[in-house]
Amino acid sequence: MASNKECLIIVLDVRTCAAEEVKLKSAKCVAEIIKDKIVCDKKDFVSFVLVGCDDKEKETQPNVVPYGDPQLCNWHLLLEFFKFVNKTACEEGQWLDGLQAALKLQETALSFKPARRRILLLFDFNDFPQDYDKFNEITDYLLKENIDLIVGTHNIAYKDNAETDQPQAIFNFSRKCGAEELENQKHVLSLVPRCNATLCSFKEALLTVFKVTNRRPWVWNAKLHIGSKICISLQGMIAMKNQTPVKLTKVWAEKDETVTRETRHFIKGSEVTPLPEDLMAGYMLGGTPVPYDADVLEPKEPFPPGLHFFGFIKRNAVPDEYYCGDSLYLLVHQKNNKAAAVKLDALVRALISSDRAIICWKIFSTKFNRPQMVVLLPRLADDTHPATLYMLEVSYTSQHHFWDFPSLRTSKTQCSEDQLQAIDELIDSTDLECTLRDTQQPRPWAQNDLLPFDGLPSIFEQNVMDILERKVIWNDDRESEMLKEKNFVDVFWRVPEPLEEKSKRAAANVKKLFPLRYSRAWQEKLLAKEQAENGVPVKQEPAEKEIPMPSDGVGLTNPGSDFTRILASVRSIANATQRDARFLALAADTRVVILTLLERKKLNCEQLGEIIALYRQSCMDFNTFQDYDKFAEELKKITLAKKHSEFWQDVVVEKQLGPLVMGELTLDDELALKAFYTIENWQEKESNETEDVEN
Amino acid sequence: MSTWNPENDVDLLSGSEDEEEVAMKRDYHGREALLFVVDANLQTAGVDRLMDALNIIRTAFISGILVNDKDLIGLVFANTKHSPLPLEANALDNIVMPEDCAVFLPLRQLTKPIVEHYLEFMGGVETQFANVYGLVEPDGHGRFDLMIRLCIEMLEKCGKKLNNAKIVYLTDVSTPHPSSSNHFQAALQKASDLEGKEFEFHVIPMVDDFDYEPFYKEFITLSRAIEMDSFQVPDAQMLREILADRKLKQDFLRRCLGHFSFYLGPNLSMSVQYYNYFQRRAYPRKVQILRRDNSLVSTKRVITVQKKDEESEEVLHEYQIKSTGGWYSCNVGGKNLRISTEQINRVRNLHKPQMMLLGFKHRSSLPEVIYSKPSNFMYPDDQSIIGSKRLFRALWERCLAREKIAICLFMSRRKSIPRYVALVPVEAPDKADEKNYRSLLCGDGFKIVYLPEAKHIRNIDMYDWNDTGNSASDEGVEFFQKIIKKLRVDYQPNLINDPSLDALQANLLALSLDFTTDNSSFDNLLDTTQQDKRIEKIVPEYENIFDPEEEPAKKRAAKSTADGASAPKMPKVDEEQLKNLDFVRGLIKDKSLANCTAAQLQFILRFHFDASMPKSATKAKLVERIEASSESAA
Repeated sequence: MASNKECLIIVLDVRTCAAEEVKLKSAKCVAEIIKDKIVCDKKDFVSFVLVGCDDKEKETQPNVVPYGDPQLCNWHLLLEFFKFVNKTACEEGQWLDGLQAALKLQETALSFKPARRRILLLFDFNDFPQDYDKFNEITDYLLKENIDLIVGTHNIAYKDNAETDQPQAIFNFSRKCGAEELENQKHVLSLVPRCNATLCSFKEALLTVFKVTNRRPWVWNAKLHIGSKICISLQGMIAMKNQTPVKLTKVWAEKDETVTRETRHFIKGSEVTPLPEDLMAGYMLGGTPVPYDADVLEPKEPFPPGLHFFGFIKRNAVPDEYYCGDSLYLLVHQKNNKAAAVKLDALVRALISSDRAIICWKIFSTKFNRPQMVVLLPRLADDTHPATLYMLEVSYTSQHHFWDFPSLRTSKTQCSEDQLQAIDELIDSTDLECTLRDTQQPRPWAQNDLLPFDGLPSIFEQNVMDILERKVIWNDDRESEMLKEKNFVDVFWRVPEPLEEKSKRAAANVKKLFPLRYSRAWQEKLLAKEQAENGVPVKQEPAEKEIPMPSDGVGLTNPGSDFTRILASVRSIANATQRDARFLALAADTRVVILTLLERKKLNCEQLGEIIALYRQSCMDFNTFQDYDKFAEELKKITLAKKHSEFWQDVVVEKQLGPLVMGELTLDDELALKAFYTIENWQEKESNETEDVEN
Repeated sequence: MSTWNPENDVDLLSGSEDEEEVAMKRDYHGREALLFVVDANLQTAGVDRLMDALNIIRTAFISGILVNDKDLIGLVFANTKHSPLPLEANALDNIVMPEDCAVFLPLRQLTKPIVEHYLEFMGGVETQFANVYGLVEPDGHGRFDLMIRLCIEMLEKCGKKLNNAKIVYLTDVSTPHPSSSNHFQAALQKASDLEGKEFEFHVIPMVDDFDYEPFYKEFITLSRAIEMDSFQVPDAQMLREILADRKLKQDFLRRCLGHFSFYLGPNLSMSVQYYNYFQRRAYPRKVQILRRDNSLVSTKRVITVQKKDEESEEVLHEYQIKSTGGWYSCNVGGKNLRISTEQINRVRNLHKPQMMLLGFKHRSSLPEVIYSKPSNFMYPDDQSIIGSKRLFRALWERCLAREKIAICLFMSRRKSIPRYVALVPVEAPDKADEKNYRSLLCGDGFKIVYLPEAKHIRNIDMYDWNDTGNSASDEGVEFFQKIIKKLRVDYQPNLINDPSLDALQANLLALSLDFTTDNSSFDNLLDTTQQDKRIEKIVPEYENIFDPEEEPAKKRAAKSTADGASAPKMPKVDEEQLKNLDFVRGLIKDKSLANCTAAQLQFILRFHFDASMPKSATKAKLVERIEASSESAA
């Protein structure tokens, strides 16, 4: 199986003479690398070598201490690393010795069969003398063994190489260097031509470590058919995919617990246990379910997999707004198939010269057989790529929206010259690229762009990493404090630092010229609408058989019939305990529904009477007298508070919906009932009530 | 403007958080309603025009029943002489019926019987419409305001919570009343009722040279609360075409994906909304049906966690968890650290939803092909921050003129992942010169292009594909140029439908309504006869120019044993022996279980200990289990 795991050995400078900045940044760099490998569940092997430890016993490579055999990354390794890097240090230490130790570790790691071997050297090339006897030997070895060397240090600036137009790292000459330092820098710079090393600043070093090229990507083998005769063997590989690399293990239960998954079935809210053969698949046609058995209806041969030509369209005929799917594919000829390569090259060149693209049907495989319309965009061969086609999925017309956006240019939005000027200033002062172009001044970042498109960070992943790191290091739940602190989150939400001040000023100027005012009008409107909706009595639905029941509870629309229906199903439960439990749940639901209905401005007395009576009757049947009596008291309280005298008289008194009485009425019962039904002094209660509110 | 001091509204800004919260939580539940109103005047130009309108509604009914099964649909005739009752007459009990309107279908969720009823009605329209409905006398001008009142009443009393209600008026008359009349003013006033109730009004002209000026321009702009000068005259034919797909140009105000604040700097924000260009693929809703009586069965997946006492097999506790339940585990030095889903959600929620400007770049810096997810569209919203529209316009206009794109960080909703986006200014095409699908695509505003994160981009080293022999001869290029010339097509989005959806819908219609639709397109999807015919003269060159493709050598097959490769694993223990428990005990004692194959170990477990382990279990685990079982048995 193709494997892309790597072995990475990191050599760190811990000498006492090294700049604190270098040491801090190196440790941070290593921590980021380990965290990334943990969170993304990479199977890479990592180890470290310290240069400058107080450990002079050894004869070879004095002051150099390797961590141990390369291993997989986990949080434990990160904690160990933090301990390891704080070993007692001294002034001495040779970076070439460090490299040699790293090479030895690479050798031991060969047993893991890594696809790539890299060494990251983080070092302060300062004024302390280094021994360069073995320089040639080591660099030749790196080149021979095909081990990549990345050198990260501070004091790096970039300029554009005149020939290649690519950014090139140089040492910053702005401050004075001693002879030794110059000597060191000279050797480091010569690493680039000698063994293809990458020299970069700390930030770039991290990006370089993360940016790994893949020589054996996953491929989708497919043939592009044009007509029945022309056919090109292609391989599709993912060029961009919207996919988070964060991988965390999900756990459902403790180790000694078992997890079962089952599907339960319901008809109109009540649970049923149909046999598998009782069920069949179907589709909703409006409100009518239509049985549909795809297998019986049309046993069809699957479409042959591959790309099936539909037509040559203008290059930009498919608007990029209609692209869908979650990935961008790159189609290249089948590896080692020269005839296919030549054909694809001819096709791509022909497409470019006639400004055309291809639309075709993509059929992924016999199993995933649904045809999908895709557009293929040509890309000419260059130094690094053969001729290729980009492949993008296209959405269908039935999915498209047609919006009606009023024109933006109206008299009301007309801007003055000053206002436009202010916007122009904002654009100029927040320009991510122009200020840097055409200057030969070295700059502290690699690209001529403060936010290069190929280097955008994954914010979510970074946040997860940071939080996990804190959790692991502190090993407790001080997470709330950490979340409050939030600095690590906000770091992304700002203009790049070199532009920050300028852009702030420009924005302040824009703010002065454009009046902006918060409005709450729409919010009030929303509120008013909600209230209005509550007031209108909702008309009952015709009891059509075809209209499916909306939910399995008692609804507000026709609580009476809902209640009767559910009660019937509750009654059918054979197990008495279960039945009672279900009834209690139903009763609780119903009480909430009644109280909600009582909240409405305009009461539907008929509906209320029906549901209360039904509920009262059922309480008698299920012997839950006390529950109802409590509820009756509550009804009375609400009636008084809301002054629903009509409801009380027409519903409660008229239909005798007061507390339940067991057996024969005694005199006491009669008196209590009378007291319950009588509300003499609405007026007085009202005034008391208002006072209460005011108090 | 000079009196306005930006310092004064700082307070309002700091209090804005609540408002944003509310805006995000706006309720979008409820159903969609679509009320068709057909002007009886359509019959005066011959019954064909009326039939055209009814046919549009027919296709809308059918596509509606297939795709959006929950929507409510209604049909009213306006300006009629008679007002026959609908089939379900009591539906109009609480509704005041104006004289010159007739309700054919009150707002209902479509069902098979309803569609059948409509189809039946359509069959008799040519002969009976004039008699049954007729045209209001003397001039065919019924009261427009009363018609709108009827529509509002029907929508309000439909008995369902509505989220989006549209009135679609199909007519060929440019004004319902002479502009000098009182009725004209009364009709205009109804527009503000529609605006207040948030009901959309669409007019679908049944003639191509429809004049919006006398009435509808003002009525529509009033009903949407937009300025008169921002009204754009739509193309009538296009409107009819998309309506048949049961689509309308959608009102920008109500159907956005979300509102948010766009920060251009500290304390400088405007309110904007964003939209999608297309929706997720809508298939008819798949359900399970009880074979016996066709009743709908809803299903729910339940995950149960159970703990049993090891000895007594008694259930100690049992509980159900949601699919979002459980937790993430992370291993720290042998100890498992637990991270709940809620904690992960909190990480997602570290920042509030908003968009923040990071800087500008030149438009050409955006690579030609860059894709990580479908683009969105952004348009200002003057509702929560008044003045947003002007600021938005200024930014948009300057970006357009200077060919700039804005790079921003965008968090679209709570708990979503913040993304880097490029805002590309786009402009509504000029009516006169573009009448194709692109004119439907966008208006004035910014296109939100999602930029892939560094980790979304795969860096592929093409070393193994690069070869000097890859490049084709000019002859080869010419060949494909000829092919391209022969097989050119014009891309028309509405000509390409989802073939599997088409096939499914055709089958469903055939099953339920006895419709036969042309369904050959699915079967002939990959038919190449046409293509072959067009290029038959050129194809013979193909074999002369290009070498035949040879399958690259397959990876070498496994070496045979004769060549010294390791022999396939042979069981070292006899199957028969394994059935003897004492023999197995002996193996356990000698620690030589590992000599058995995994299949044999599974067999031992099953045969002697009545236990089984998943097929994926490793040998070491199997051995461990057997040893444990044997001990407990002893």
